[in-house]
Amino acid sequence: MENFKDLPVEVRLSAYIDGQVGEDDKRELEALLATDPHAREILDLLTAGSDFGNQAFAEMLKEPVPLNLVRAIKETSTKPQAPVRQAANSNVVSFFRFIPQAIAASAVLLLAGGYSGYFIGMKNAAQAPSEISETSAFEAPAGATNGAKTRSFTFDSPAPISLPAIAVTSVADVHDVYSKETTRLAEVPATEAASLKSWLAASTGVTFNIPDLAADGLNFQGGRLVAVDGNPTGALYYKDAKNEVVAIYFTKGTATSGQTAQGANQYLSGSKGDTAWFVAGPNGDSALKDIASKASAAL
Amino acid sequence: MSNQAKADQISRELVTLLPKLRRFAMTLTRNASDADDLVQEACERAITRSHLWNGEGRLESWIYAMTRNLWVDEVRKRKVRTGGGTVDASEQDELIVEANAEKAIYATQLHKMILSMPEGLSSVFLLVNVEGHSYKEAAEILEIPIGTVMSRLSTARLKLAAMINGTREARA
Repeated sequence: MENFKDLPVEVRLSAYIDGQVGEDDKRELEALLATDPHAREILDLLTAGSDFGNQAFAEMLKEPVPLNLVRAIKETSTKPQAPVRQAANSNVVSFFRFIPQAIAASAVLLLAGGYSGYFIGMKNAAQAPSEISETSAFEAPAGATNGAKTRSFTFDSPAPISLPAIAVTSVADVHDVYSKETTRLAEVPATEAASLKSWLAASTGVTFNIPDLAADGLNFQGGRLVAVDGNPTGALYYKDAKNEVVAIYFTKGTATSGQTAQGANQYLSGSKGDTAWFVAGPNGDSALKDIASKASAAL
Repeated sequence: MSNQAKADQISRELVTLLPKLRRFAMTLTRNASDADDLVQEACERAITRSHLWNGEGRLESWIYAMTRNLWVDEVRKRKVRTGGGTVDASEQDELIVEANAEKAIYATQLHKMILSMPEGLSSVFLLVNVEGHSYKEAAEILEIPIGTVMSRLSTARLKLAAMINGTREARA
């Protein structure tokens, strides 16, 4: 990379925003910003562009993931994985094609083996106790380990799977958008509950049952797949007699147990196994705790 | 852990990463259809090569690099087929609005603006500004020098700032 000081001022200010400048450069840029209105203007533009871009890219995460893409990935993993090295081609022509290479490789291995055996034998003969010191080098056991290093084999330890911590505020952002939908609250209606269930289970990796909340005065409307902080999340929507929306959200992750009020809604949250769940409903709805326990039981 | 178990584990993690992978792919392809094809191919490759994943660092960085390499190959193939070419983002001054972008599923004003940015700019911006990758990580994923990451990032920020007025006009 060329000298930092030689870079255009907008590049240096952009790095300044990211805290990617050294102390000297930082002081120099701050002095420039204190005296040069043009530099301040550039910094303001860079910051504004940064914020605007963040917002635009966050919007992109809200798009539902096509079900066929999820299926294709799951199907790939269920196919038996081919061994790292493929079996030799049984084709006779290709077999004969490799004979010269096989002979050459065998010769090399034979020479290497002979040399190694000789070398190990000589070494063992030198280190062996006196009663076997007269043993011919060529008769020394090939597996002798006197003075030899042992090789240990380890198996892959499982890579840790870190479950994302899902914040209530992130769920609230999603709920604010979808709960206001009047005619398209659910992407898959309640009449297609079986299809909805298999879709959301495939997309989120969470096995669940759709809770029947009719006893709580809630009619199931259907559901959809949403993205919460980029995590595929199942959403089930219900409406009460006043047309108020109550929703259940679930995804692979963790959530802090508790109750939070945000805007016009309150949110109950918790984790069950590797699944985070949330129940969202209007403030003051005393039945939400009962609904939350039913939601948790359905996971 | 067996290869199959590792493949299953990676597959589960990939499903949760899908929205992010699609978003990254969109910055490369700038249309939804190509992005989904690219993500599918990258995920399939990651699963079949799961024995190569050592569990260190972010899984998405590994997949991003794979996605980027696949896309470079695809662009090369298309170039051969059509005889056309692409201009590197650093050499491109004007925004490109692809015809496909107009038809894309992501047809909101914001998305169209993002998709109109040259590929090199939006990828760097996404990795560093949005997802918090370091300059070095972004440079490794995209296989470009750190200096290029810095210059593309500042260009992307300025181009995005210039788009703000467009968004306001669209809302009005």
